[in-house]
Amino acid sequence: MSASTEALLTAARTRLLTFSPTTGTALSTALTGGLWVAQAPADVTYPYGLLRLMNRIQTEGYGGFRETGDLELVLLHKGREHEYDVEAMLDVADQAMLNWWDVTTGATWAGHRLRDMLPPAPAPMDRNVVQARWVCPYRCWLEYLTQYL
Amino acid sequence: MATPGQAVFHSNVPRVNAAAWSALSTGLAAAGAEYAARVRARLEQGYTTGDFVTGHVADSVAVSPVERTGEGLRLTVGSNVNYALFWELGHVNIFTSAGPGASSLLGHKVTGTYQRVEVWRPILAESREALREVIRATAAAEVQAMVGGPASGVDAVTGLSREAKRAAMRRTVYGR
Repeated sequence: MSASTEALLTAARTRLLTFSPTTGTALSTALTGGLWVAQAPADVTYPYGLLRLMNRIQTEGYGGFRETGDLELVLLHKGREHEYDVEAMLDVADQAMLNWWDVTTGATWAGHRLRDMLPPAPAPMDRNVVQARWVCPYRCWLEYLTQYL
Repeated sequence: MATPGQAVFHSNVPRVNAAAWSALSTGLAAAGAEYAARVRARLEQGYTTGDFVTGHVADSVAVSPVERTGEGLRLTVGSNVNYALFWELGHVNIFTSAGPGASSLLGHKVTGTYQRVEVWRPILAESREALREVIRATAAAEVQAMVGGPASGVDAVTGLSREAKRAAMRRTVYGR
């Protein structure tokens, strides 16, 4: 059960940043520009990540107490030569969230995920920016609702 | 072959099955058109100020034919304009400022800012119930037309609406 939306997001962010892969670099080290919720500050440096929850739906048949949704992670790096670096970061995200059950929020994460490296595009897009998107689903009982049961 | 006086069994299951698929297909196509219209209307307002809208993306919104897959019926609503994708998923825009002193086109120091305006996904999420109702209503109307029943809900034999029939049944059973 998640006490709040903030707790849910914080748990996911902490997991992503602190997961230590057998091989490769933890995201807390690789993402030198930080991992931000929704929007990075204007003076952010590359590489950095953006995180948010979306598609939050109260599952039918559970009286509104159970929620499914998606966690979206967007990674941005400057310089096309960093494409493999970004892919490596997403490999770590895959490992961190695959079948992860968070005992603090009660959320279960991912049995599958969507992952795309966006193609370079012409202006007004900065074609020198490498951008990848990663989305994984979660299921959760919201404690701020179930407390009324 | 039936002999005189012998009943012959005809299964209407294949006919009903085909009719159901056809009705659902019509319903899904109607829902696709409804969703496309909502997306198109939103895109006509532009992504930001609306000062640079040409209608290019709005005009590109297209609906595919309904196809039958192993998982059921499928329809795709989309655009072939690539920058629609980048507005939806976010992009670093070289023409927008990152704040005071951070970038300037005239100063030849453009760093760009991360820009994102979602249109397609939120409209789909917000319209889910409405689109489901479009599918239901359209499919029901087609089924009614096929079986010859009244689309208006009025019983062809008694001339009563469903509500009137229920009221009559209540009077019969409960005396009120």
